[in-house]
Amino acid sequence: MLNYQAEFAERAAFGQELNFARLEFAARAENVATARALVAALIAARPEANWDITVAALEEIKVAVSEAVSNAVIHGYGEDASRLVTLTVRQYQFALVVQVADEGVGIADIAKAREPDFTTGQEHLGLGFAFMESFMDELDVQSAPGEGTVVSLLRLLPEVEEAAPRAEQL
Amino acid sequence: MSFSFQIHNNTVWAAISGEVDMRIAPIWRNALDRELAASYARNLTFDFTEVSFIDSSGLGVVLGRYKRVASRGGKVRIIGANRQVYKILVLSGFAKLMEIEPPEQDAAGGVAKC
Repeated sequence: MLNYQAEFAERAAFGQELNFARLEFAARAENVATARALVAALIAARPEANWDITVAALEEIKVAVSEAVSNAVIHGYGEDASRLVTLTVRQYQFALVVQVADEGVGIADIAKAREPDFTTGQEHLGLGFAFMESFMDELDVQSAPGEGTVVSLLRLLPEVEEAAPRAEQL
Repeated sequence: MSFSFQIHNNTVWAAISGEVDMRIAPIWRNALDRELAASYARNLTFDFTEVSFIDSSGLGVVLGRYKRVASRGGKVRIIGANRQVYKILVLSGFAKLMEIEPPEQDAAGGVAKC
């Protein structure tokens, strides 16, 4: 599933591919910050060519990445640090695509998993997918029980759309 | 990242700094629960002045403690959140449950947009 690439409706608007990075890391809690840092560093390394995104937009992207990686670590692998999460980042002229893949338990009912849920386990809130949807332009989830999950996140950049905060009340 | 507690005016003041994600969440949750169990203070105030980032793992800890304090008739407040943190608190519906201090106006005099 690693080489899976999500089919985003806005694909035509991405422009030229500028950069590509892929990182494998152990399914450990501290690597959620590692993933956020990599994405933030890649964005910071592209101040030219329309990548002048606002602090608010950067923070929204970081929350979405954090949620996707937390899901992989907690739900995909049950925090089994011997397992690996793969983070893939593709930077385009007018878009950022972040993919978080695990080979863990998978999700049987993706639609149900994506519904905001304030009840399951008060400690994880059930808002991970809701934040990913609120803060990104498109979200693609591929999963199969026993095979793993690939979450792909798309954020369009200012030349295509104002980099205003896009969150609305859930 | 670090956290601390003070008890003042019948309120547990819980300050935390840095990035509040799944790395710190379980540790902070246990410490908060110990503090709440050991104290007779009725209310809980979260001081987020030094919080640079929070996601649903951190918010889950806040919500869980809210339920506990509210069930005992106490009030929960969040102070000092920066714009990004404030925005995610509001987005999560927390403003309906607890008092959240809005972020200060920025240097240019603009009001935080949420």
